[in-house]
Amino acid sequence: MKHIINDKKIAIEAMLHSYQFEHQGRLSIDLKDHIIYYKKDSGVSLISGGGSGHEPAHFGYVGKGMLTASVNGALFTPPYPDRIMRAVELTDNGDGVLFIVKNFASDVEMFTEAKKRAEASGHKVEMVIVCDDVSVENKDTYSKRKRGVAGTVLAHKILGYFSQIGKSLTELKVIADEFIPHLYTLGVALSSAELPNTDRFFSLGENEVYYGIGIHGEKGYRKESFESSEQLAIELYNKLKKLHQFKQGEHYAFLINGLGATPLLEQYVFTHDIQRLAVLDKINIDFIKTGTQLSSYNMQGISLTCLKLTDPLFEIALQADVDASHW
Amino acid sequence: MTTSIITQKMIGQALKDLMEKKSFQKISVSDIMRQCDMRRQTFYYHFQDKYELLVWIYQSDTKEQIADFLDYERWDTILYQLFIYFNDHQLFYKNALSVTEQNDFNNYLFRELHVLFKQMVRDLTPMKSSEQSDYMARFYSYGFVGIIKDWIESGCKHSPEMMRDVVYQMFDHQLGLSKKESEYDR
Repeated sequence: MKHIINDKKIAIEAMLHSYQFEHQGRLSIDLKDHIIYYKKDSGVSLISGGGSGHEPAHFGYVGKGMLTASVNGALFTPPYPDRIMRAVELTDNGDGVLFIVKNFASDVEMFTEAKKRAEASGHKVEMVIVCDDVSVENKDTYSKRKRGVAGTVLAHKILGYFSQIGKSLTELKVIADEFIPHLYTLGVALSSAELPNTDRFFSLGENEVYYGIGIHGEKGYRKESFESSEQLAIELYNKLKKLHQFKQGEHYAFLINGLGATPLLEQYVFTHDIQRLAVLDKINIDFIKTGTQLSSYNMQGISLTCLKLTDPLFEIALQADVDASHW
Repeated sequence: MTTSIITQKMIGQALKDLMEKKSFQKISVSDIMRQCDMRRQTFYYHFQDKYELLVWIYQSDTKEQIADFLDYERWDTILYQLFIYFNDHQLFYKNALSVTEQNDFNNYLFRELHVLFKQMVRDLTPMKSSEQSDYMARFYSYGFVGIIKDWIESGCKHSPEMMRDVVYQMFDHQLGLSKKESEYDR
Protein backbone atom coordinates (compact mmCIF):
# COMPACT_ATOMS: atom_id res chain seq x y z
CA MET A 1 0.00 0.00 0.00
CA LYS A 2 1.17 3.52 -0.76
CA HIS A 3 1.40 6.17 1.98
CA ILE A 4 1.94 9.91 1.59
CA ILE A 5 4.86 10.22 3.98
CA ASN A 6 8.62 10.77 3.74
CA ASP A 7 10.47 9.29 6.69
CA LYS A 8 8.15 7.26 8.95
CA LYS A 9 10.17 8.38 11.97
CA ILE A 10 9.37 12.05 11.53
CA ALA A 11 5.84 11.78 10.14
CA ILE A 12 4.18 12.58 13.50
CA GLU A 13 6.38 15.64 14.02
CA ALA A 14 5.64 16.88 10.50
CA MET A 15 1.90 16.45 11.09
CA LEU A 16 1.91 18.26 14.45
CA HIS A 17 4.13 21.02 13.14
CA SER A 18 1.92 21.78 10.17
CA TYR A 19 -1.31 21.43 12.18
CA GLN A 20 -0.11 24.01 14.66
CA PHE A 21 1.08 26.25 11.80
CA GLU A 22 -2.44 26.09 10.38
CA HIS A 23 -3.88 27.12 13.79
CA GLN A 24 -1.06 29.34 15.01
CA GLY A 25 -3.42 32.12 15.98
CA ARG A 26 -4.92 30.09 18.81
CA LEU A 27 -2.77 27.00 19.47
CA SER A 28 0.81 26.42 20.61
CA ILE A 29 3.11 23.48 20.16
CA ASP A 30 5.84 21.80 22.15
CA LEU A 31 7.49 20.02 19.25
CA LYS A 32 10.00 18.19 21.43
CA ASP A 33 7.26 16.53 23.51
CA HIS A 34 4.62 16.36 20.78
CA ILE A 35 2.07 18.51 22.60
CA ILE A 36 -0.56 20.76 21.04
CA TYR A 37 -2.06 23.14 23.62
CA TYR A 38 -3.38 26.53 24.51
CA LYS A 39 -3.13 28.57 27.71
CA LYS A 40 -6.20 29.01 29.86
CA ASP A 41 -6.23 31.77 32.47
CA SER A 42 -8.54 29.85 34.75
CA GLY A 43 -10.46 26.61 34.93
CA VAL A 44 -9.44 22.99 34.96
CA SER A 45 -7.04 21.96 32.22
CA LEU A 46 -8.24 18.98 30.18
CA ILE A 47 -5.49 16.78 28.79
CA SER A 48 -6.00 13.82 26.53
CA GLY A 49 -3.83 11.91 24.15
CA GLY A 50 -2.63 8.53 23.15
CA GLY A 51 -1.04 6.95 20.15
CA SER A 52 -1.11 8.84 16.86
CA GLY A 53 -2.97 7.38 13.91
CA HIS A 54 -6.42 8.21 15.26
CA GLU A 55 -6.61 11.69 13.77
CA PRO A 56 -8.27 14.08 14.16
CA ALA A 57 -8.20 12.72 17.73
CA HIS A 58 -6.99 14.16 19.81
CA PHE A 59 -5.30 17.41 18.72
CA GLY A 60 -8.27 18.35 16.54
CA TYR A 61 -10.24 18.87 19.75
CA VAL A 62 -7.84 21.29 21.44
CA GLY A 63 -9.47 24.68 21.85
CA LYS A 64 -11.89 26.64 24.02
CA GLY A 65 -14.74 24.45 25.17
CA MET A 66 -12.89 21.17 24.64
CA LEU A 67 -9.33 20.00 25.40
CA THR A 68 -6.56 22.20 26.73
CA ALA A 69 -3.80 19.91 25.49
CA SER A 70 -3.26 16.79 23.43
CA VAL A 71 -0.16 14.66 23.97
CA ASN A 72 0.62 12.62 20.90
CA GLY A 73 2.53 9.36 20.96
CA ALA A 74 4.03 7.37 18.11
CA LEU A 75 1.70 5.47 15.75
CA PHE A 76 -0.70 3.41 17.90
CA THR A 77 1.64 3.86 20.89
CA PRO A 78 0.78 6.11 23.84
CA PRO A 79 3.05 8.95 24.92
CA TYR A 80 5.55 8.49 27.75
CA PRO A 81 4.73 9.90 31.20
CA ASP A 82 7.36 12.65 31.01
CA ARG A 83 5.62 14.08 27.95
CA ILE A 84 2.24 14.00 29.67
CA MET A 85 3.89 15.61 32.69
CA ARG A 86 5.19 18.36 30.40
CA ALA A 87 1.62 19.01 29.17
CA VAL A 88 0.56 19.41 32.82
CA GLU A 89 3.32 21.95 33.42
CA LEU A 90 2.39 23.86 30.27
CA THR A 91 -1.33 24.13 31.00
CA ASP A 92 -2.07 23.88 34.75
CA ASN A 93 -3.07 27.33 35.97
CA GLY A 94 -3.61 26.15 39.54
CA ASP A 95 -7.18 24.91 39.09
CA GLY A 96 -6.00 21.36 38.43
CA VAL A 97 -5.77 18.94 35.55
CA LEU A 98 -8.13 16.26 34.30
CA PHE A 99 -6.71 13.43 32.20
CA ILE A 100 -9.14 11.84 29.74
CA VAL A 101 -7.70 8.44 28.89
CA LYS A 102 -8.84 5.69 26.53
CA ASN A 103 -8.96 2.39 28.37
CA PHE A 104 -5.98 0.56 26.92
CA ALA A 105 -3.53 -1.02 29.36
CA SER A 106 -0.52 0.95 28.15
CA ASP A 107 -2.38 4.27 27.92
CA VAL A 108 -3.70 3.87 31.45
CA GLU A 109 -0.23 2.91 32.67
CA MET A 110 1.42 5.98 31.12
CA PHE A 111 -1.21 8.42 32.36
CA THR A 112 -1.25 6.83 35.85
CA GLU A 113 2.50 7.27 36.13
CA ALA A 114 2.22 10.86 34.88
CA LYS A 115 -0.50 11.53 37.46
CA LYS A 116 1.78 10.29 40.25
CA ARG A 117 4.62 12.48 39.09
CA ALA A 118 2.40 15.53 38.62
CA GLU A 119 0.90 15.11 42.09
CA ALA A 120 4.37 14.75 43.57
CA SER A 121 5.19 18.13 41.98
CA GLY A 122 2.16 19.74 43.60
CA HIS A 123 -0.42 19.58 40.80
CA LYS A 124 -4.00 18.50 41.47
CA VAL A 125 -4.80 15.73 38.97
CA GLU A 126 -7.78 13.48 38.35
CA MET A 127 -8.14 10.83 35.68
CA VAL A 128 -11.21 9.76 33.72
CA ILE A 129 -11.01 6.45 31.86
CA VAL A 130 -13.30 6.04 28.85
CA CYS A 131 -14.34 2.43 28.20
CA ASP A 132 -17.12 2.63 25.60
CA ASP A 133 -16.11 -0.28 23.33
CA VAL A 134 -18.78 -2.98 23.75
CA SER A 135 -17.37 -5.53 21.35
CA VAL A 136 -16.68 -9.04 22.65
CA GLU A 137 -13.44 -9.56 24.55
CA ASN A 138 -13.79 -13.19 25.49
CA LYS A 139 -15.50 -15.74 23.24
CA ASP A 140 -16.31 -18.04 26.20
CA THR A 141 -17.85 -15.57 28.61
CA TYR A 142 -18.89 -12.94 26.02
CA SER A 143 -17.55 -10.25 28.37
CA LYS A 144 -17.27 -6.89 26.65
CA ARG A 145 -13.97 -5.38 25.61
CA LYS A 146 -14.39 -2.06 27.38
CA ARG A 147 -11.58 -0.23 25.58
CA GLY A 148 -11.82 3.49 24.91
CA VAL A 149 -12.86 4.35 21.36
CA ALA A 150 -14.90 7.02 19.53
CA GLY A 151 -17.07 7.81 22.57
CA THR A 152 -13.96 9.47 24.00
CA VAL A 153 -14.65 12.44 21.72
CA LEU A 154 -18.08 12.92 23.34
CA ALA A 155 -16.30 12.79 26.71
CA HIS A 156 -13.96 15.57 25.51
CA LYS A 157 -16.95 17.65 24.49
CA ILE A 158 -19.07 17.19 27.60
CA LEU A 159 -16.22 17.64 30.06
CA GLY A 160 -14.82 20.52 27.99
CA TYR A 161 -18.11 22.36 28.31
CA PHE A 162 -18.33 21.86 32.06
CA SER A 163 -14.73 22.95 32.50
CA GLN A 164 -15.49 26.05 30.41
CA ILE A 165 -18.39 27.04 32.66
CA GLY A 166 -16.16 26.78 35.70
CA LYS A 167 -16.79 23.36 37.24
CA SER A 168 -14.07 22.26 39.63
CA LEU A 169 -11.81 19.25 39.17
CA THR A 170 -13.83 17.23 41.70
CA GLU A 171 -17.10 18.19 40.01
CA LEU A 172 -15.77 17.19 36.57
CA LYS A 173 -14.84 13.77 37.90
CA VAL A 174 -18.36 13.32 39.31
CA ILE A 175 -19.91 14.36 35.96
CA ALA A 176 -17.69 11.89 34.09
CA ASP A 177 -18.69 9.08 36.45
CA GLU A 178 -22.30 9.94 35.69
CA PHE A 179 -22.24 9.67 31.89
CA ILE A 180 -19.40 7.28 31.04
CA PRO A 181 -21.31 4.17 32.18
CA HIS A 182 -24.01 5.08 29.62
CA LEU A 183 -21.60 5.49 26.69
CA TYR A 184 -21.38 2.57 24.22
CA THR A 185 -19.63 2.17 20.88
CA LEU A 186 -19.51 -0.61 18.33
CA GLY A 187 -17.79 -0.57 14.95
CA VAL A 188 -17.61 -2.47 11.70
CA ALA A 189 -14.71 -2.79 9.28
CA LEU A 190 -14.91 -3.15 5.52
CA SER A 191 -11.13 -3.48 5.45
CA SER A 192 -8.27 -3.57 7.95
CA ALA A 193 -6.13 -0.53 8.67
CA GLU A 194 -2.68 -0.73 7.14
CA LEU A 195 0.14 1.26 8.73
CA PRO A 196 3.31 2.10 6.78
CA ASN A 197 5.62 -0.94 6.49
CA THR A 198 3.26 -3.09 8.52
CA ASP A 199 1.03 -6.02 7.62
CA ARG A 200 -2.74 -5.77 7.74
CA PHE A 201 -4.20 -6.61 11.17
CA PHE A 202 -6.77 -9.02 9.74
CA SER A 203 -7.89 -10.19 6.34
CA LEU A 204 -11.37 -9.91 4.91
CA GLY A 205 -12.83 -11.40 1.77
CA GLU A 206 -13.70 -9.05 -1.07
CA ASN A 207 -17.32 -8.79 0.03
CA GLU A 208 -16.89 -9.35 3.77
CA VAL A 209 -17.40 -7.05 6.73
CA TYR A 210 -16.17 -7.58 10.29
CA TYR A 211 -18.32 -6.46 13.23
CA GLY A 212 -16.83 -5.37 16.52
CA ILE A 213 -13.29 -4.51 15.41
CA GLY A 214 -11.18 -2.23 17.60
CA ILE A 215 -9.25 0.89 16.64
CA HIS A 216 -5.85 -0.86 16.64
CA GLY A 217 -6.91 -3.82 14.54
CA GLU A 218 -8.39 -5.74 17.49
CA LYS A 219 -10.50 -8.60 16.18
CA GLY A 220 -14.28 -8.42 15.92
CA TYR A 221 -17.00 -10.86 16.89
CA ARG A 222 -18.42 -11.84 13.48
CA LYS A 223 -17.63 -11.70 9.79
CA GLU A 224 -20.39 -11.78 7.23
CA SER A 225 -21.11 -10.89 3.62
CA PHE A 226 -21.84 -7.27 2.95
CA GLU A 227 -25.27 -6.35 1.65
CA SER A 228 -26.06 -2.74 2.48
CA SER A 229 -25.59 0.16 4.83
CA GLU A 230 -28.93 -0.79 6.41
CA GLN A 231 -27.59 -4.23 7.27
CA LEU A 232 -24.62 -2.68 9.12
CA ALA A 233 -26.79 -0.04 10.79
CA ILE A 234 -29.29 -2.66 12.06
CA GLU A 235 -26.53 -4.89 13.42
CA LEU A 236 -24.71 -2.15 15.34
CA TYR A 237 -27.88 -0.31 16.41
CA ASN A 238 -29.57 -3.47 17.71
CA LYS A 239 -26.60 -4.30 19.91
CA LEU A 240 -26.54 -0.83 21.47
CA LYS A 241 -30.33 -0.87 21.75
CA LYS A 242 -30.18 -4.10 23.73
CA LEU A 243 -27.42 -2.87 26.03
CA HIS A 244 -29.24 0.40 26.71
CA GLN A 245 -32.65 -1.31 26.80
CA PHE A 246 -34.16 1.51 24.70
CA LYS A 247 -37.57 2.63 25.94
CA GLN A 248 -39.97 4.83 24.03
CA GLY A 249 -39.48 8.54 24.78
CA GLU A 250 -35.94 8.24 26.14
CA HIS A 251 -33.26 10.72 25.07
CA TYR A 252 -30.01 9.78 23.35
CA ALA A 253 -26.99 11.27 21.62
CA PHE A 254 -25.42 9.47 18.65
CA LEU A 255 -22.01 9.76 17.07
CA ILE A 256 -21.42 8.21 13.66
CA ASN A 257 -17.69 7.97 13.20
CA GLY A 258 -15.75 7.22 10.04
CA LEU A 259 -12.77 5.01 10.81
CA GLY A 260 -10.37 6.70 8.42
CA ALA A 261 -11.17 5.77 4.82
CA THR A 262 -14.95 6.00 4.73
CA PRO A 263 -16.35 8.74 2.47
CA LEU A 264 -18.57 11.29 4.19
CA LEU A 265 -21.32 10.46 1.72
CA GLU A 266 -21.40 6.89 3.02
CA GLN A 267 -21.22 8.06 6.64
CA TYR A 268 -24.34 10.14 6.05
CA VAL A 269 -26.16 7.27 4.33
CA PHE A 270 -25.46 5.20 7.44
CA THR A 271 -26.59 8.13 9.65
CA HIS A 272 -29.86 8.26 7.76
CA ASP A 273 -30.40 4.57 8.51
CA ILE A 274 -29.73 5.16 12.22
CA GLN A 275 -32.18 8.07 12.26
CA ARG A 276 -34.90 5.86 10.77
CA LEU A 277 -34.22 3.05 13.23
CA ALA A 278 -34.54 5.51 16.11
CA VAL A 279 -37.92 6.62 14.73
CA LEU A 280 -39.03 2.98 14.79
CA ASP A 281 -38.15 2.68 18.47
CA LYS A 282 -39.69 6.08 19.23
CA ILE A 283 -36.56 7.29 21.02
CA ASN A 284 -35.45 10.92 20.81
CA ILE A 285 -32.13 11.76 19.20
CA ASP A 286 -31.34 15.05 20.93
CA PHE A 287 -27.88 15.22 19.46
CA ILE A 288 -26.26 13.54 16.47
CA LYS A 289 -22.89 14.05 14.86
CA THR A 290 -21.40 12.49 11.75
CA GLY A 291 -17.78 12.59 10.64
CA THR A 292 -14.35 11.09 11.02
CA GLN A 293 -13.73 11.91 14.66
CA LEU A 294 -11.51 9.14 15.99
CA SER A 295 -10.07 7.03 13.23
CA SER A 296 -8.17 3.81 12.96
CA TYR A 297 -5.64 5.29 10.53
CA ASN A 298 -6.93 4.26 7.10
CA MET A 299 -9.49 1.66 8.04
CA GLN A 300 -12.54 1.52 5.85
CA GLY A 301 -15.43 1.24 8.25
CA ILE A 302 -17.68 3.03 10.63
CA SER A 303 -18.54 3.07 14.31
CA LEU A 304 -21.71 3.93 16.12
CA THR A 305 -21.63 5.56 19.55
CA CYS A 306 -24.74 5.97 21.63
CA LEU A 307 -24.93 7.92 24.87
CA LYS A 308 -28.04 7.84 27.01
CA LEU A 309 -28.76 11.41 28.07
CA THR A 310 -29.51 10.88 31.74
CA ASP A 311 -29.34 14.65 32.36
CA PRO A 312 -30.58 17.38 29.95
CA LEU A 313 -27.38 19.30 30.73
CA PHE A 314 -25.43 16.72 28.71
CA GLU A 315 -27.29 17.76 25.58
CA ILE A 316 -26.53 21.42 26.29
CA ALA A 317 -22.88 20.43 26.74
CA LEU A 318 -22.84 18.62 23.39
CA GLN A 319 -24.58 21.44 21.53
CA ALA A 320 -22.43 24.28 22.90
CA ASP A 321 -20.12 26.10 20.49
CA VAL A 322 -16.41 25.32 20.66
CA ASP A 323 -13.24 26.62 19.15
CA ALA A 324 -11.77 23.26 18.09
CA SER A 325 -10.95 22.55 14.46
CA HIS A 326 -12.45 19.08 14.11
CA TRP A 327 -15.55 19.06 16.33
CA MET B 1 -37.02 0.03 -6.62
CA THR B 2 -34.54 -1.63 -4.25
CA THR B 3 -36.02 -3.21 -1.16
CA SER B 4 -35.21 -1.37 2.04
CA ILE B 5 -35.08 -3.47 5.21
CA ILE B 6 -35.81 -0.40 7.33
CA THR B 7 -38.86 0.44 5.23
CA GLN B 8 -39.99 -3.17 5.70
CA LYS B 9 -39.44 -2.77 9.44
CA MET B 10 -41.49 0.46 9.43
CA ILE B 11 -44.36 -1.23 7.64
CA GLY B 12 -44.04 -4.14 10.06
CA GLN B 13 -44.10 -1.77 13.02
CA ALA B 14 -47.30 -0.20 11.67
CA LEU B 15 -48.95 -3.63 11.55
CA LYS B 16 -47.68 -4.40 15.06
CA ASP B 17 -49.11 -1.12 16.39
CA LEU B 18 -52.48 -1.78 14.75
CA MET B 19 -52.60 -5.37 15.99
CA GLU B 20 -52.31 -4.20 19.59
CA LYS B 21 -55.89 -2.95 19.23
CA LYS B 22 -57.44 -4.78 16.27
CA SER B 23 -57.49 -8.34 15.02
CA PHE B 24 -55.32 -9.20 12.03
CA GLN B 25 -58.36 -10.11 9.94
CA LYS B 26 -59.82 -6.62 10.34
CA ILE B 27 -56.68 -4.77 9.22
CA SER B 28 -56.24 -3.82 5.56
CA VAL B 29 -53.11 -2.85 3.64
CA SER B 30 -54.50 0.70 3.46
CA ASP B 31 -54.80 0.79 7.27
CA ILE B 32 -51.20 -0.33 7.61
CA MET B 33 -49.85 2.26 5.18
CA ARG B 34 -51.94 5.04 6.74
CA GLN B 35 -50.49 4.08 10.11
CA CYS B 36 -46.88 4.46 8.87
CA ASP B 37 -47.67 7.45 6.66
CA MET B 38 -46.44 5.87 3.42
CA ARG B 39 -47.97 5.41 0.00
CA ARG B 40 -49.98 2.24 -0.50
CA GLN B 41 -47.81 1.37 -3.49
CA THR B 42 -44.73 1.21 -1.21
CA PHE B 43 -46.32 -1.78 0.53
CA TYR B 44 -46.41 -3.71 -2.71
CA TYR B 45 -42.76 -2.91 -3.50
CA HIS B 46 -41.92 -4.91 -0.40
CA PHE B 47 -44.70 -7.45 0.22
CA GLN B 48 -47.34 -9.29 -1.75
CA ASP B 49 -49.99 -9.10 0.94
CA LYS B 50 -50.45 -8.73 4.70
CA TYR B 51 -49.87 -12.47 5.25
CA GLU B 52 -46.43 -12.19 3.71
CA LEU B 53 -45.76 -9.19 5.95
CA LEU B 54 -46.75 -11.16 9.05
CA VAL B 55 -44.40 -13.99 8.08
CA TRP B 56 -41.65 -11.47 7.35
CA ILE B 57 -42.07 -10.06 10.87
CA TYR B 58 -41.67 -13.54 12.41
CA GLN B 59 -38.63 -14.22 10.30
CA SER B 60 -36.97 -10.86 10.84
CA ASP B 61 -37.72 -10.61 14.57
CA THR B 62 -36.52 -14.10 15.42
CA LYS B 63 -33.34 -13.55 13.36
CA GLU B 64 -32.62 -10.20 14.99
CA GLN B 65 -33.36 -11.53 18.48
CA ILE B 66 -31.46 -14.81 18.19
CA ALA B 67 -29.15 -15.39 15.20
CA ASP B 68 -27.72 -11.86 15.22
CA PHE B 69 -26.77 -12.25 18.89
CA LEU B 70 -25.13 -15.69 18.62
CA ASP B 71 -21.56 -14.37 18.53
CA TYR B 72 -22.27 -11.44 20.79
CA GLU B 73 -24.02 -12.76 23.91
CA ARG B 74 -24.06 -16.12 25.68
CA TRP B 75 -27.07 -18.39 25.15
CA ASP B 76 -28.55 -17.65 28.60
CA THR B 77 -28.52 -13.89 27.98
CA ILE B 78 -30.12 -14.43 24.55
CA LEU B 79 -32.93 -16.52 26.07
CA TYR B 80 -33.59 -13.89 28.74
CA GLN B 81 -33.63 -11.15 26.09
CA LEU B 82 -36.11 -13.24 24.15
CA PHE B 83 -38.49 -13.40 27.13
CA ILE B 84 -38.19 -9.63 27.56
CA TYR B 85 -38.82 -9.11 23.85
CA PHE B 86 -42.00 -11.23 23.76
CA ASN B 87 -43.19 -9.65 27.00
CA ASP B 88 -42.80 -6.17 25.47
CA HIS B 89 -44.66 -7.22 22.30
CA GLN B 90 -47.15 -9.63 23.85
CA LEU B 91 -50.29 -7.91 22.54
CA PHE B 92 -49.10 -8.20 18.97
CA TYR B 93 -47.94 -11.80 19.31
CA LYS B 94 -51.06 -12.93 21.15
CA ASN B 95 -53.12 -11.54 18.35
CA ALA B 96 -50.79 -12.93 15.66
CA LEU B 97 -50.82 -16.43 17.13
CA SER B 98 -54.60 -16.51 16.76
CA VAL B 99 -54.26 -16.25 12.96
CA THR B 100 -55.14 -19.92 12.68
CA GLU B 101 -54.01 -20.67 9.15
CA GLN B 102 -50.43 -19.87 10.06
CA ASN B 103 -47.77 -22.06 11.53
CA ASP B 104 -44.86 -19.86 10.53
CA PHE B 105 -44.24 -18.46 14.00
CA ASN B 106 -43.38 -21.96 15.26
CA ASN B 107 -41.24 -22.69 12.24
CA TYR B 108 -39.10 -19.55 12.36
CA LEU B 109 -38.71 -19.53 16.12
CA PHE B 110 -37.79 -23.22 16.03
CA ARG B 111 -35.26 -22.69 13.25
CA GLU B 112 -33.40 -19.91 15.10
CA LEU B 113 -33.59 -21.62 18.50
CA HIS B 114 -32.26 -24.84 17.04
CA VAL B 115 -29.02 -23.09 16.06
CA LEU B 116 -28.81 -21.44 19.50
CA PHE B 117 -29.37 -24.67 21.42
CA LYS B 118 -26.94 -26.57 19.21
CA GLN B 119 -24.31 -24.05 20.21
CA MET B 120 -25.35 -24.30 23.87
CA VAL B 121 -25.23 -28.10 23.93
CA ARG B 122 -21.89 -28.10 22.16
CA ASP B 123 -20.48 -25.62 24.71
CA LEU B 124 -21.84 -27.36 27.78
CA THR B 125 -21.53 -31.02 26.84
CA PRO B 126 -18.67 -31.25 24.37
CA MET B 127 -18.53 -35.06 24.83
CA LYS B 128 -21.76 -35.63 22.92
CA SER B 129 -21.70 -36.78 19.33
CA SER B 130 -23.10 -34.33 16.81
CA GLU B 131 -26.13 -36.58 16.36
CA GLN B 132 -26.84 -36.61 20.11
CA SER B 133 -26.30 -32.83 20.29
CA ASP B 134 -28.69 -32.31 17.44
CA TYR B 135 -31.42 -34.39 19.13
CA MET B 136 -30.94 -32.50 22.37
CA ALA B 137 -31.07 -29.16 20.55
CA ARG B 138 -34.25 -30.17 18.74
CA PHE B 139 -35.80 -31.38 22.01
CA TYR B 140 -35.08 -28.06 23.73
CA SER B 141 -36.21 -26.04 20.70
CA TYR B 142 -39.58 -27.79 20.44
CA GLY B 143 -40.06 -27.41 24.19
CA PHE B 144 -39.05 -23.80 24.22
CA VAL B 145 -41.34 -22.86 21.32
CA GLY B 146 -44.24 -24.44 23.22
CA ILE B 147 -43.36 -22.69 26.46
CA ILE B 148 -43.11 -19.32 24.71
CA LYS B 149 -46.45 -19.82 22.94
CA ASP B 150 -48.28 -20.87 26.12
CA TRP B 151 -46.72 -17.98 28.00
CA ILE B 152 -47.79 -15.42 25.36
CA GLU B 153 -51.29 -16.90 25.19
CA SER B 154 -51.55 -16.68 28.99
CA GLY B 155 -50.91 -12.94 28.65
CA CYS B 156 -47.34 -13.38 29.92
CA LYS B 157 -48.73 -14.20 33.36
CA HIS B 158 -45.29 -14.71 34.87
CA SER B 159 -42.51 -12.16 34.60
CA PRO B 160 -39.65 -12.63 32.08
CA GLU B 161 -37.34 -13.03 35.08
CA MET B 162 -39.40 -15.88 36.48
CA MET B 163 -39.57 -17.55 33.07
CA ARG B 164 -35.82 -17.18 32.72
CA ASP B 165 -35.23 -18.76 36.12
CA VAL B 166 -37.54 -21.70 35.34
CA VAL B 167 -35.80 -22.37 32.03
CA TYR B 168 -32.30 -21.99 33.51
CA GLN B 169 -33.13 -24.43 36.31
CA MET B 170 -34.41 -26.91 33.77
CA PHE B 171 -31.26 -26.71 31.69
CA ASP B 172 -29.12 -26.84 34.77
CA HIS B 173 -30.89 -30.00 35.88
CA GLN B 174 -30.78 -31.60 32.43
CA LEU B 175 -27.24 -30.69 31.57
CA GLY B 176 -26.12 -31.50 35.10
CA LEU B 177 -27.57 -34.96 34.56
CA SER B 178 -25.88 -35.41 31.24
CA LYS B 179 -22.61 -34.26 32.79
CA LYS B 180 -23.00 -36.93 35.52
CA GLU B 181 -23.78 -39.51 32.84
CA SER B 182 -20.67 -38.75 30.88
CA GLU B 183 -18.62 -38.93 34.09
CA TYR B 184 -20.27 -42.28 34.84
CA ASP B 185 -19.49 -43.53 31.32
CA ARG B 186 -15.86 -42.80 31.87
